Amino acid sequence: MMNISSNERLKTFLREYDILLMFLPFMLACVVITEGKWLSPDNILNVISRVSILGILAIGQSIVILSGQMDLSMASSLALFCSVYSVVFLSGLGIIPALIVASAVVLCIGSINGVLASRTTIPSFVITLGTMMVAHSMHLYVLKAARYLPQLQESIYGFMNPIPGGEELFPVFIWICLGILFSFVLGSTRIGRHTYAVGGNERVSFVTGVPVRRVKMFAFVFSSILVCVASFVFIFKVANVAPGSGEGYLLDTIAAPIIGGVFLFGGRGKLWKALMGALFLEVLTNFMRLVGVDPFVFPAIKGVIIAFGVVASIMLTPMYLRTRIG
Amino acid sequence: MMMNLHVQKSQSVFELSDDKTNQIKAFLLRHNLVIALAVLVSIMTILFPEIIFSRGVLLSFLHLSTILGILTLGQAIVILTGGIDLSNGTIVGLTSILGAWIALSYGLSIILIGTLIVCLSLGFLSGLLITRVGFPPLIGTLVAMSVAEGITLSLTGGAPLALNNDTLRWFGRADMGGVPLYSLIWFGLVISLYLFLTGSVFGRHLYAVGGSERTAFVCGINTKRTKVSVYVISAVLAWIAGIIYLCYTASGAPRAGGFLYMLDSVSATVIGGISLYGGRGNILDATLGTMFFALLYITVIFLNVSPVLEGAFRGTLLLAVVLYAFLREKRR
Repeated sequence: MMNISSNERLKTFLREYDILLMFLPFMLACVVITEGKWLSPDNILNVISRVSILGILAIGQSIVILSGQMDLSMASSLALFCSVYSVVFLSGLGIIPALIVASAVVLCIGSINGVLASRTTIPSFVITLGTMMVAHSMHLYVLKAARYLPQLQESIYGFMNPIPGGEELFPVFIWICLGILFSFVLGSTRIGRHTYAVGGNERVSFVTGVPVRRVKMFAFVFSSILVCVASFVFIFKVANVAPGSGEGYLLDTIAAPIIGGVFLFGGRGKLWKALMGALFLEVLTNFMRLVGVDPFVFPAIKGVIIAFGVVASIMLTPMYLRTRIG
Repeated sequence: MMMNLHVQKSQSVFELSDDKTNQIKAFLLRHNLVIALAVLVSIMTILFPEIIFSRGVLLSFLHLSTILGILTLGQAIVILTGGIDLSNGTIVGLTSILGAWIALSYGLSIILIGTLIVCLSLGFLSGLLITRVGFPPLIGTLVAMSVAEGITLSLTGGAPLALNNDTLRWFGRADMGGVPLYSLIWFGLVISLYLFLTGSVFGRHLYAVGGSERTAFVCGINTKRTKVSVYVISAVLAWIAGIIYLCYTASGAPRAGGFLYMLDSVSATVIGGISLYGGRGNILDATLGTMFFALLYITVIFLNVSPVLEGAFRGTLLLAVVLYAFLREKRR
């Protein structure tokens, strides 16, 4: 009896911290293969401050996936935010109005997603595929050429100057705060619990009185708010908007929660694990760059990783829950 | 008796007028696509009377709708079973670049067989992932898509490659009585697939699986085999489209179509009245949907819309189409 329970406890422990257990050997491999280059303080700082953009996007995508939907439009919305910001800013208005206009545009896309997803039965990936196309092409249309935008960076640098390492760690600070905030929202508030319920079984939650429409709307609106924050960090960090920038996040935002064990069909998963998944992806990308893997192969590798993540999450799903898949 | 008959008759006469509006409504709903096409053609004729029926426009219409049409056939078959194929557009690019790459050192038969084998295996890959492992179609075909994209980009590092094969180049230019050969292939495919789906056991199974997979399974249909073959058929059709693309442009382009083709094939299928949830619709309507699309693109080109905005146009169109389809289903 004693044996079984300790065995069970071990299993639960492994399941709870599987992402960390996966992470440690991988990091070790990174260090060994790059002969310690990976561990240099510059590189570590680079990875940590880069991950915040993907991390913030992953929070939004996790909320959407947990509610049983999918948002393909995040990466293009980020690109659209940056281009609208650049155009409004360069037309002579200040930073704040530019940020407000760009946020309004992105929130508009988020609410279109939300309204269509909550009021109709159209699959959300089709809806967000459509808005993704619209956002992407508006981004190209608005931007027209690559632009260098250091002003936001400079103003925040001036603000953060007294704090040592503040410039580099400012995005990380935002990311971690948002992570804690949304962990709390998902785990301990009514709307958060409802998100899990709707993702787990939409019909049952509807019958038991969960406001399904409001929950779906919440998911998409919050994901677009988080896109705004991520784009803000993107402009701050990269200070350069080019046609097609932000494209690469399309696959990554979906991959991060899945690697972190968020169930692709909604209803199960932890936010902090999804964020570890984002960190994992960023380390992987950084590692592939350091080793010199052909960047063209990146999407293929990430596709395979998503596949493995989905297989693992299906394998770990109890049999009685599998009927919903497919 | 007589009275009774009389009463019945008058009733039926009374109902007829009501029936007639219903009939007109049903007719309009049934042939909404033909009507939309006719409206679009007449608008075009009014706006651009000199060029709309010129040979160049007709040829570009045929070219646009051939490749999209063949892809839509595959997409329609997949969607009829309730799935979706994200990989078909990428397979077009893969076939074209792989064909051009093989043509550097081998002849026609090796080009065709080599590219076909790759496409078949991609179709099998997504089919098996979906049926055996239990992936949702979205993810299963996404995996096939990223594998295809990886191969496509790593072959030439993303650069296009000229086609070095005279037979294929000839095929891209050849016509029969003014109609390009590849369009004839498309017509042939449409007719044969339509007959196949309506007349064969496999076609019935396909509709059954789309209608309700569980019921079909309980009735003894091999649902897994049906679903795998659907993805394989879609990949083969994408292969045909890719070869046609290769012949027509006489070069392999890794960035050919890709995502946009996939998006268009989904929109054309949905606008053609095939339900996204499977089991309802037919291939002829999907083909009409393709023609509608091709005509719409030509209209957009004529109207001088910035090419950069094309994506916004397509995205909006997709949203409008699925919304329309949703409202139509809801009425049922």
